[in-house]
Amino acid sequence: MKRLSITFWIGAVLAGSILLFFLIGCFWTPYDPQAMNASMKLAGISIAHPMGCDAFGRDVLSRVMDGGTSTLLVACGTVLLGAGLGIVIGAISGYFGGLADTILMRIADALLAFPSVLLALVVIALLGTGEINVILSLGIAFAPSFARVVRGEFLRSRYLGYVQAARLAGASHARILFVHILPNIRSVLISAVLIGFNNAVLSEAALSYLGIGVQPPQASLGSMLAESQTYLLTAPSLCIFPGVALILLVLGFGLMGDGLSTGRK
Amino acid sequence: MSLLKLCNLSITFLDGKEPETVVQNLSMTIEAGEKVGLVGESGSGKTISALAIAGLLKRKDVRIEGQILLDGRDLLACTDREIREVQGKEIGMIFQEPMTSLNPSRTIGWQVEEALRLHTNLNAEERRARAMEALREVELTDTERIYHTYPHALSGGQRQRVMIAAAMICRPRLLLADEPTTALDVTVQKQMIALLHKLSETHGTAILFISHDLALVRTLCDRMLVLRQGKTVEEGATEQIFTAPQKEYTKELLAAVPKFERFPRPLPQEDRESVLQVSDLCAYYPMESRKLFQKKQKKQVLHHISFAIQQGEIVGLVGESGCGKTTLAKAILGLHRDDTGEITHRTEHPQMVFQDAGSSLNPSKTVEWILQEPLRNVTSMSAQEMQERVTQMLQLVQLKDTLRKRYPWQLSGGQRQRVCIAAALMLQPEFLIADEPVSALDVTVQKQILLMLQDIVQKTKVSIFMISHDLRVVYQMCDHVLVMKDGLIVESGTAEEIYRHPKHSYTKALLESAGAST
Amino acid sequence: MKYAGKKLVSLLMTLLFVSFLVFWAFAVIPGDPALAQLGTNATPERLEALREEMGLNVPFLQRYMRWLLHFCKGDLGQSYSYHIPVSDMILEKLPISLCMTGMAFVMVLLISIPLGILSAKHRGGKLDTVICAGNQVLMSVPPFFSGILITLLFGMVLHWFTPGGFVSMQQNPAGFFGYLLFPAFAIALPKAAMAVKTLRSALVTELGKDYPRTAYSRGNTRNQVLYGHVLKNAMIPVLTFFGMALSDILTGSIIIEQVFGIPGIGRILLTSIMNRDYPVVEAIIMLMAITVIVVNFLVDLLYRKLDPQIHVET
Repeated sequence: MKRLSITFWIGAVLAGSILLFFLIGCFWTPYDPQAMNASMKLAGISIAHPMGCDAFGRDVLSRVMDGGTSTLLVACGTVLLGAGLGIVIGAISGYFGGLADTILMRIADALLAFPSVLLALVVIALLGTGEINVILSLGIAFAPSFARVVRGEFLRSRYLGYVQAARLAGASHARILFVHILPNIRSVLISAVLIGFNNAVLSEAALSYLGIGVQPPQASLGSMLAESQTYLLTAPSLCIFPGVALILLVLGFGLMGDGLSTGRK
Repeated sequence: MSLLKLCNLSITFLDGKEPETVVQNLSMTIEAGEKVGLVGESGSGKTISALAIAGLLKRKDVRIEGQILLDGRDLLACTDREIREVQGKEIGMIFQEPMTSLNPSRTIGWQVEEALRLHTNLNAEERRARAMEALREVELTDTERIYHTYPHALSGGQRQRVMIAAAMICRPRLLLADEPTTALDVTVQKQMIALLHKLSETHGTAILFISHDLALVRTLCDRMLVLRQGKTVEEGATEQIFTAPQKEYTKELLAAVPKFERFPRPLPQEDRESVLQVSDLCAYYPMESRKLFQKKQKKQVLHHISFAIQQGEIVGLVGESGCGKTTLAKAILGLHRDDTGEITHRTEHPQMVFQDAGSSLNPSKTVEWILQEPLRNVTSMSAQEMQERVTQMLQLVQLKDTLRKRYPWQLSGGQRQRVCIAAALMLQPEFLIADEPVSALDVTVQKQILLMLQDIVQKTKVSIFMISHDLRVVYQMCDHVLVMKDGLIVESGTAEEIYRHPKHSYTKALLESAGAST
Repeated sequence: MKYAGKKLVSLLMTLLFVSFLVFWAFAVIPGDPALAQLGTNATPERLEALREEMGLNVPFLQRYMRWLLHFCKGDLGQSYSYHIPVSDMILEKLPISLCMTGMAFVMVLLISIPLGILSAKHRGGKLDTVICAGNQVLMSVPPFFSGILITLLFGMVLHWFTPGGFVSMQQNPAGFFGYLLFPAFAIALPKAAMAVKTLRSALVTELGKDYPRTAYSRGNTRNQVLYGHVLKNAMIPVLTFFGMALSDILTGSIIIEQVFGIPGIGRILLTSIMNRDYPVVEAIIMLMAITVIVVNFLVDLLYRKLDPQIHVET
């Protein structure tokens, strides 16, 4: 319909290639990411090991691919849960207003008072580690900010002429919410989802850096960074590669979101 | 020497794919103290020209050619510093939207004094005295309070007065007024014109008055210029142009201005059925509670409204903003809940045409989808039948059938309003409410839409309840007229009665502002 | 003042709700705290005695009220693992974390405001493009990764500080602040980048409105319009951002303490989570939430000062 900006496409290419890289990691990695090899301990960059090997002689490339996969899984789960809850709550809250709105937004405000990673820490402290718990806790932590964005859009749309016209045309509330309004706020939604995705990736990485996300020996970008700190001076590549993979993924989605919001005028 | 002289002014925007010339070879002069009107429909380049004169168009992506001579000095050749010396001191400017043209977070006093701070060496005390004087001069009362308050606390008319006070405080010799009355109520409009006239007379300020409203230009200006698509169509003394226009476009423009002339309408038949009856309607709005634990208070916005609409009749409702017109419409539609009294009609889904056709069409759907929506929701028609109904309806509102696949943003303002009217007629209602259906449109388009509505009423026997602030439009169109003020119907009768023999003083004031020569 | 009063009521209600949420989570989910404290081989009598002592035998709401009352008095309970009052544990470490958070916050302000204005002033130009691109990259770097890079560059290569060589304020104040500079910078970087972006877009939005045009028509210079007219209005959305950024900076400090080996609140929180030392976790979570809520309350009041047309309703 309307042309998207160049920023969006740079981001899309960047995010797309990193995603592809991680997706390949789902099915195939050059080596077994868990296989240790004492002779290759802290081996440098070579043709056989393009990113070198870690302190246990594990292939870093394979571990980055494998770790990225679990990061993606957690991030997608989080966004699905957070955006799903947020859209439903925000739509109801913004469109109907009144008491439901007041109560829902109070709860959202209270939840927003807990920094998301902190909330995840608490849930993990109470329920134990594991990917499902991370998704659950981050999803709940992210839902209020989604709800806020969506609520604002529905609140604004509620008074627009076309919504009034739809009511007069006999459309039901559900139809107005999801057939009339939702398609018109899609660009805001997509931006929110992209930002949420990035926050999820960063939060997951932070949790596994702290050692309470994905548990070893399963690779994860965050835990690889934590392990790399011991050998920072001798093998800086151990932290560079997972770190850069993380940055490129987040940067790609960030640029996409940015391109979307500036392209729409 | 003329105060202002434009020589072959051309303005081209370079930001699009191709350069777009919006003003072409505009030449004009304004003498000291003269009031000149610049008239044209949207897209005629009148605002752009004013911005260029005020030195507000110096951007990389705009090319300005020609000369803008102020006292013989070419402003286009001046440095930025020299231009700033002129801005606010020699040339003042006021804008269309007094709501957004004032800084929301600065006090009125601060903004009125700004030009003094920039262009004079007066101290704070002297500036304040001058500002107070300026506020009094624009006929604001309670200036002490207004001086310390913020724009949001003022009404539209008050804001525009503040804008004028701020623009005039350095006694500029030229005031550029860009549609300064468009956003205001008719009675306020008239006061504003009188104010501009007074200021111009007392201080000898020349005024370039930009407007699409020809009647206003006629009351204020000595000379006028008609623009169309960036080119001058006609220029001359105002009275001469009004009485003996030379060019075809000017004639067309003048003919389209709503006048107190009724469109030919067949005489209404006797003993028709009534399609809508409102009796003793009162409506309330919740007031914001002052204290935390105070009982919620209500404000009554409609007071005992009673009227009826017969089949095939057009009834007009006239009143200024905030008088309760929209609430009445909402109550009839069932969108406003807090009311008492009785509203009787047989239409299951009463329909309404909104003022802003742009926002009342769903931007992500096609014309066809929008027109079919009521049928999908309410009837069980087959796709084939719905298609046929859309075709008929497009014919009725005089739109080409090829437009059915377009999105609203691909249509012109007039086309959009036609789609809105078609959408309201899809369920073949007995009556429909039209809330200022033409006030956002250019006069020539306005007239076409009004004539089309007449035509539809005759063909379909639908009744229209038409809400408008413009008595002229109402007089042209309607059989019956209701005049509303502060939630009360102060007068009602046939259009002729209201026009010939107004009883209430408010009706008389409205008629006078609308330029009725009774 | 009416506005402040109304906001204060809403602040207290949110605090109450948050405290209830926290208490509920820690009272319901983990099971029997007495059992947790004594271990599985405790005798039933001792368990019962401890339950009585800890007040676990009274109804839930009563327990909550008592806990809340104690909390307000500053009694945050006893640590399960160290058997000392939680308040002592926290008070000792609090200044370190507060200093770091404060430094990071000041850095965000110092970096973002000038850069945001610069970027908006030259919007569309080369400088703006460079700043925007830099922002986008910096926003994508997680603080713990930039922390690692800073450790590598400034600590190991340039030797500006000794990684892991944290000294307390009592020992060496200059060394203390000097050391915290680096972790604070790591936390501040991505937030500052986001702040620049927010400020820039707020400024550009305001510059596109009608009133700057009015200001120009009176003969204002570009700088006068920017600083005299636009900046104040543009700060309104940015203020909200700063309020929210604080909660991220708090979180960031927990993580960054790990990177730089700083014994602050974050360290206690993590070890307590590992040890299932619930009273400590509960207290820290409450304190952080309170900080965030109070700061946002203050932001709201400031907001009111900046924006005269804000309505009494939320």
